[in-house]
Amino acid sequence: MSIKSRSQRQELAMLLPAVIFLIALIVVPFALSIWFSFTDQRLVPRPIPTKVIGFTNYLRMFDDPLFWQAIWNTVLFALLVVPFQLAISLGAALILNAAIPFRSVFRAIAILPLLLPMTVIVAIWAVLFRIPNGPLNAAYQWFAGSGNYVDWIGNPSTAMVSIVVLSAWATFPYQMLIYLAGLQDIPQDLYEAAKLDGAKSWQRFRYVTWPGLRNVNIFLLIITTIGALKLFTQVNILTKGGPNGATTTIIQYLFQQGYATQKVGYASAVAVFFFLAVTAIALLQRRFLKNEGEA
Amino acid sequence: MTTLRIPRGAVLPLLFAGILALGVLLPLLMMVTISLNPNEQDIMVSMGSIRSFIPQVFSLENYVQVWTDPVHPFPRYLWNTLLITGSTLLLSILFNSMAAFVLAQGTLKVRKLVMILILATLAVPGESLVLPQLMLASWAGLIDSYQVQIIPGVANAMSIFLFYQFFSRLPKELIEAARIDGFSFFQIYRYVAMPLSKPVISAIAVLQFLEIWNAYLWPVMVTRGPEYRPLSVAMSAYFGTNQAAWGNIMAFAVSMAIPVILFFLIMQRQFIASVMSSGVKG
Amino acid sequence: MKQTLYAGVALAACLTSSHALAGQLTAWVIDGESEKPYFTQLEETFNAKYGAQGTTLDVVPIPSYNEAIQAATLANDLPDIIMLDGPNMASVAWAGTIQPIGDLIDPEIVADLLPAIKDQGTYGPAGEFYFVSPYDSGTILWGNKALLEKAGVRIPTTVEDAWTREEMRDALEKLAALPEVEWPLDVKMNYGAGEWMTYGFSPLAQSNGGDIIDRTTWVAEGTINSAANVETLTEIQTWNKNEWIVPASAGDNKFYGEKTAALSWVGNWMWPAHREGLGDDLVLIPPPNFGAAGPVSANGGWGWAVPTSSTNLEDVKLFLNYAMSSEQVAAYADTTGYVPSRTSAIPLSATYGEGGEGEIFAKLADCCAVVRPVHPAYPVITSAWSQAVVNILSGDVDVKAELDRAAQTIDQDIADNDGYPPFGE
Repeated sequence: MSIKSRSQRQELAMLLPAVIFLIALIVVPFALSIWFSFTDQRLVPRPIPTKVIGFTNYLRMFDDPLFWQAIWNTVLFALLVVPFQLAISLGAALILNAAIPFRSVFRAIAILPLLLPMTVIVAIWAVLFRIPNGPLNAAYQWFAGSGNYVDWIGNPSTAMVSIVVLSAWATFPYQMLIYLAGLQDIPQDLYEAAKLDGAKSWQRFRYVTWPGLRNVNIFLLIITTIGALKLFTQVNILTKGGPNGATTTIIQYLFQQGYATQKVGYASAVAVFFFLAVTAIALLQRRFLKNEGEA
Repeated sequence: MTTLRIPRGAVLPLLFAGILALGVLLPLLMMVTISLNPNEQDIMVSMGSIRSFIPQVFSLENYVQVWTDPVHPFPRYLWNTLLITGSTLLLSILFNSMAAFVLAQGTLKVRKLVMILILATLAVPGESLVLPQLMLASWAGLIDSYQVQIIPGVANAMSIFLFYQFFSRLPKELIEAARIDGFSFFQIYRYVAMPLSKPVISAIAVLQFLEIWNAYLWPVMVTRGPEYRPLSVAMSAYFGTNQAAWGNIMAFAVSMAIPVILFFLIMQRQFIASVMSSGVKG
Repeated sequence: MKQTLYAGVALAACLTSSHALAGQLTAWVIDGESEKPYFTQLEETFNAKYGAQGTTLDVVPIPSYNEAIQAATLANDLPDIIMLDGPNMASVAWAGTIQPIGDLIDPEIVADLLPAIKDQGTYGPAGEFYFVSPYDSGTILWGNKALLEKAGVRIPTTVEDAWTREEMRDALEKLAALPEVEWPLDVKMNYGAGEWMTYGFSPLAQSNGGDIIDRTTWVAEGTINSAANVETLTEIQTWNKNEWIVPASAGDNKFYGEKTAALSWVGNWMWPAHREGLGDDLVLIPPPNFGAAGPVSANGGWGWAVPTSSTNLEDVKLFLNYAMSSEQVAAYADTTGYVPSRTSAIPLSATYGEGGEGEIFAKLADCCAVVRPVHPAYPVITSAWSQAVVNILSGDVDVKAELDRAAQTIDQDIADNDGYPPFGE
């Protein structure tokens, strides 16, 4: 008995540090968020008392066109970046899974963007996007004739697409590596069998590779979507949410409201909404994809 | 005529691999080229031409400026980043693996409750919690310190989950045998489980390393100056001025990227394996 | 485990707190290229003068200054002296972060300040002095004489013969037609949605009889979205649609570096860059006359404030009187290109005195400067206005709707703070 309880005390001591920090870092802030969202809490203390204001923050949030724009921008970003980035990742994985010379060198090169901090990547792309003579515009002038240029991040209609391309470049190696692992898990004899049946390479992809990647695809779809919904750093450094709100995402909006203008109560309402939305999307995706897989 | 022996089926993939490599390398080449050019005017003029991708001058002037700038003390930023990243990794791996071992192999009744807590926190997007976290940090008097940048990384639901999956697959006989040999619960964790979990540790370490090294939002909110700021925040401060000095910015960028690339070259094998496994099994 | 953690936290608390030792002053300053030599000089000469008496000064330039001040305020760990941007003083004073400095500064110095600089530092219905700036600033049109002459445009030299709105429009049209001109006018869109949009664009609105808030009732509705403001911003929006304005991502140097812009609407901090880039081709043109009120120039800028937590007041007093002495005020102006903030220093200045090349700035400070509203809601006022300006200049956006939204944002914030007592009482 005494041995058991000593062992259990040991277990408790091993469990507690992580649990305490999880509570302090996630549970308490989460509870605070919910509480703040019903008050007019400010970041820096004010000389007037903080009040409970009911659902005012939520009502104002639903009333603010910029909030809806932020939601639409975030959804748009996810809709654009997820297929684009996954296609690039899968393509890169297929290439780097093939028997080519210097394969490990190519793999090492392809991983480089993953190693660079987003701040560095943003600095590089800021140069690429420059007008009128940045490298991307130089390439554009090759097609469109000299004197023409696109204000990639300064024009509301191209800003989001530019952020999508930058983001895909920055993070595709992660998905690529997971695809590579997925490709290696597909049994080689399936390919042999397909070859014996006379399947062309496209058919081998369609009937062997693609079904074999089903689980990987589901996993990547979910994590890439959730990652996309959190878009912030690129936008905060490069465009500050502009031009005319065209790249204001939910997190950028939350940051503007809660940190720049210090309205923590209001920003908390946005945070609670964001949390509910992300959870709902993750659950829906999982359910939908599972059903589809079983059907 | 010398022929490079390339298998017939590999020509097209090799071509694509070349395009992929160019797509990754060109922007990086530009970063290095600009960083080596001390003449801002020349950088502006050659931008967009082929000269912005192939270094014409090899000057370390920008690097010297960046490393010795007294207002943006690069060595201090580097030290801060190393210290924060190192401490976080150490504590995180210790705390999370201990907790995961209890959850996987322990006997406590609360394990179920804790497991629910961990699965639930997995769903909470961290970014939505930064403001209450900032208020808590300010009430606790932790703003502008190393701790305030280390603590948020030390308990990580995802790491616990990955460790948990690994530990629950450990053979029961192994644990049982150790227990019969008189090992306490902690000793089993320390001398049996941990030595076996090197692959998991390196997977988690690599993922968290990148996350902390590149962290931006939190450090910018909780630091007041070079004393505790990490590289990523310093970099964006450089970048945020109106008259951007691209040569210096790119020298800073290269200087910031090199430690990570070195880390990668050393850990390449584990790195690739770990990111791969984190996905499929995670 | 726990004990080590506590020990760690306690140790860190000791390390982080920079509580002033008597005689040791720390001042935080902005990290600007043009100010850097001045601050180095300030630290050196102050220490040479007072070091022997046991008071030493440490001047610390801080990158990402605003975030740093925010973090330090939250940590309640501000240094003895900080720099603030003038218009934000009211908000910081209202929150109780800084203390009045009327008793810490020589009355002669206060009496000698330019009137608009005194206004900028005077807070609230009680009219207490909280903030003092060593310099004043202004906005003008900087021109490239060669391009202007080539386009056959009249170059005004005095406030009385400033361009009217129509004349400026006409000038831009002529300049845009020149082959060497890409976008004729640089209005520093690359500064982004920040203070510049208020500093630089509210004078144009005020010149046309508008303003960004009613300064007696402190209500934005009806003022920020007035017909005059809609007219002003519609005009500038049209210029932008005509591709007469340098876009944000084109960079900072179109006027002084590549010389593909012929005019630049910006403050005097760009003087050194402009002088170096354009040499004898640089001309200083008074602000345009947009309507009812004649030419208006912006004014004010960064200056010194003392956090409430600062207790080392005897030494702070030494510092303030030293930094605001006429030699130091003059040195600030000489180094940075700003206008000295003390009346007695202006005639002494080679640049700004009678017949000096910067005489126009001193004239503007005298005739045409409008202080940005000294009100605790200013951070919200400026952010709403600058967001509206940036949006309006991003393309084909409804000007009135943008300004209505700004009015709503500002008035809502003031209501949310019970009118910022004692204001609005």
